[in-house]
Amino acid sequence: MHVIMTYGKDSFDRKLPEDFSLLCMLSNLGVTSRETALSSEEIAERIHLQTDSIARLITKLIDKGLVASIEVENIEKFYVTLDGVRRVLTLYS
Amino acid sequence: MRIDMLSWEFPPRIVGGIARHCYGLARSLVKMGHEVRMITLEFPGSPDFEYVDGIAVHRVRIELGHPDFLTWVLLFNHFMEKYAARLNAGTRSDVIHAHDWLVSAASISMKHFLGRPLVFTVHSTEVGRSRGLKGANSYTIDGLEWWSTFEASRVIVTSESMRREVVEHFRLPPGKVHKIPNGVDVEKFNLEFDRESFRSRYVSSGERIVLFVGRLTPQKGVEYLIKALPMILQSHPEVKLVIVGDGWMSDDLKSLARSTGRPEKIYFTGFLPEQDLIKTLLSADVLVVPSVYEPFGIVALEGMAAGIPVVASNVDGLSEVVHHGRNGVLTYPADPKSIAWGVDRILSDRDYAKRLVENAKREVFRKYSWDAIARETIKVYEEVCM
Repeated sequence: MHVIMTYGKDSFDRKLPEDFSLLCMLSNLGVTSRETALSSEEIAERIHLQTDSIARLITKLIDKGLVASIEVENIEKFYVTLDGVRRVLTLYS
Repeated sequence: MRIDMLSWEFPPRIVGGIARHCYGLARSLVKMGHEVRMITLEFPGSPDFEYVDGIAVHRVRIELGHPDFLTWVLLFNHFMEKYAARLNAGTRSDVIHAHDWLVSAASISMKHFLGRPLVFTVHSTEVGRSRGLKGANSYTIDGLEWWSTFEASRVIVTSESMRREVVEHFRLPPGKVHKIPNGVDVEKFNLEFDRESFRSRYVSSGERIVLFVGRLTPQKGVEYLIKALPMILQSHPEVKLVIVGDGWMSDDLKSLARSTGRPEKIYFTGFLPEQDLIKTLLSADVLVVPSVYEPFGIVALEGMAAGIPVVASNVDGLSEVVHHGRNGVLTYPADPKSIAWGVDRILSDRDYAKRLVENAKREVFRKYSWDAIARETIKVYEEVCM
């Protein structure tokens, strides 16, 4: 028998998923193109989060197609994709 | 008349109904001979400036970002202000029309440095969206909304329920608030295409489409529609639920879909481009709008214009557009059983569904054309410019 998952009393009170919060911060920082891509260390500096946490969340976002990576002078950098920008925008309206 | 319109979203930067509203209104204003300068935000792949159907669209670059949402909003408002100051150094606008709190700071500054009247449209409120004010950001957003309604010469809302909400919550004199509904471009639904072939993207032959269109956020109530599906399938095993849109609840809703035990009966399309969205609406058998808060619900109008029966929650502005048993079916909000009942009512009685669709189409043509809405808006502009 399948049990339908519930969100608890009120889904309005739910916390945003961690990876989505990072996605929003990257988008608000303007990291939305290859030219503005940042490395894990640079992201960590700007948002005061541990580099290993960033790496874990970025991997999730890449898997979902919301963040992409490029290599610049042997350093891996990341930016929010168009799908990622669209996902972020759904929060605010 | 020259109008400077401010909105943080304008196609292709589409977040919710505001982008569609601004486009529909501005296009009709231009058709009537007015000049509209749309001041909006940059979007990947879109030019900084272009004319769209005669609307001068200015996309402002956000020169400096910040991870904190409110700081980011105030920063981009500064860049909008800077842009507007440059724009008005040449030819000044007659009126400033701002849409929602995200452009509050820029529009209020413009009012003061240009000495021009401000009209402010409240599309929704923080207290409504979040079901109360929760935390520091919520209170600041609420404050920005109040500030705009205070500074504006006139406030426009799209429904009676929003009028009540803003008059009570922001303590506004009722005479300051004008109700002008949202509109819909009915012509875009006159589209020739192979419906059966398009439907095969989502369903196999003999299956019927129950459609949801919107942001995947708590406000839209998609979770209740997903929970209703097993009940709908009991009487209509041929149904498939197609969910169009994206949002931060996407992963959770997919988990919820799996937990129904019938994930093969739920299809998430993600974001769809405009033409595909129109074709999807024209291909569906019933549109469900299960919102728990909806100041207007432009998607219900689009469903009506597309000629599909609409099942909507009996909330706020939605219940002013959808009239139970006349042009659609209303159900209790946040109630899967009631949604299942509403869908069954449509799918079990084709004559009833056909009657609702005919009435709905007539009403959409009569009441919700953008030209009529633009005429009402011009009256407001003329009042504030006198």
